[in-house]
Amino acid sequence: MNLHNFSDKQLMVLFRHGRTEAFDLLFARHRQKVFALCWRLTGRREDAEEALQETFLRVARAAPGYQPTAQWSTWLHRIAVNVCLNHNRRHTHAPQVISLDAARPSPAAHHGVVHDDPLDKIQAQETGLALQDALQTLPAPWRAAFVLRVFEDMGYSQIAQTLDIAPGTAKTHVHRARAALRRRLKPILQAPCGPTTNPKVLP
Amino acid sequence: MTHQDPTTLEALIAAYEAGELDDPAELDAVEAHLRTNNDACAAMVEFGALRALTQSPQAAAPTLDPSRGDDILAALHAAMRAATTPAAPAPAPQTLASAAPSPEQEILTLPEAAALLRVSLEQLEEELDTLPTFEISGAVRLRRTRLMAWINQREAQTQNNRMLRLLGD
Repeated sequence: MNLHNFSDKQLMVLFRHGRTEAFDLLFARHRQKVFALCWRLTGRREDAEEALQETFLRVARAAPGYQPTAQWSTWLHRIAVNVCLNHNRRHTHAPQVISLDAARPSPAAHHGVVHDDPLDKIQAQETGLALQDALQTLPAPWRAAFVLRVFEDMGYSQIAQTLDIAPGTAKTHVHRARAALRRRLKPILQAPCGPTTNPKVLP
Repeated sequence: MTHQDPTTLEALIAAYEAGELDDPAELDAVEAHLRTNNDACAAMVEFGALRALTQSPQAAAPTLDPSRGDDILAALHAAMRAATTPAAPAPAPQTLASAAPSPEQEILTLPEAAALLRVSLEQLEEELDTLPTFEISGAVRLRRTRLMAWINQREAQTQNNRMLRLLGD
């Protein structure tokens, strides 16, 4: 039986009936996405790894009572977000200092982007870190809604289901998060503008 | 619009820039404000820049180290094993199946195999095509260990069929 042909829900049902290889496949399919989500929500690689493990441990524990009613990915996201919110409540970390050391791999490297100019590379790293640090300054509900909207490309009803809030509240959280990020990242985002150059309001 | 809380106004501009401002009155008010207010215009551009930043490679999350992922999976397996409380095995009756096999019992006759499987000889004979038997001068015999492997195989097959029926529901 080729498990790769099964959906996430089906794999979960198989796992519920004792097929641990089904769980392994679910982990392989979703580990990077969940890690990325946890990284954005916790701000640190080590914490994200811990949250990834805790998320799938909760998935395993929930297996006996699992009912395939909701979309599996929404259910998984919900667990991951709750794990990260709980983690953040227990730990507070200072925003990471932007360092010129190359100890941290450049986000651009993940996409094969090569910066020939070392200064460009440093600037790219700083920008990425600045965004990540700014995210960590947001209130947890805003951060979660923003990350799900912008990086997970979720619709507002799905965000609402994931965070157990109303869709209108999800929208408000996202836009307030945007406003707060814009204020914090102003030096990076700033550009001169006059009313006549407003791209959306031009006749 | 001048009476709006600045935070709310900023959020409205953010919503407008994202194309997510649905209320017609709010839409008109924001557009009117943008036409006359340079700061609001600058905010629009900055929201656009923020959007571009979040979509750029700089905003990409790091990749989970594969060996770290493997470690995490191993830890999950260990946790699942630790959490599993094995059911107390039912006391096994002292039958041919449960007694430590003596050298003579490593090889089974068909009736002995049927007793082990708790089926009738007739039922077992229906499975002769699949059983790992061998013959010596017309006498059919089975090695106990091969029979055990056959049982495991049959168990897995039954489980698979059950899963497929479940998934088909």
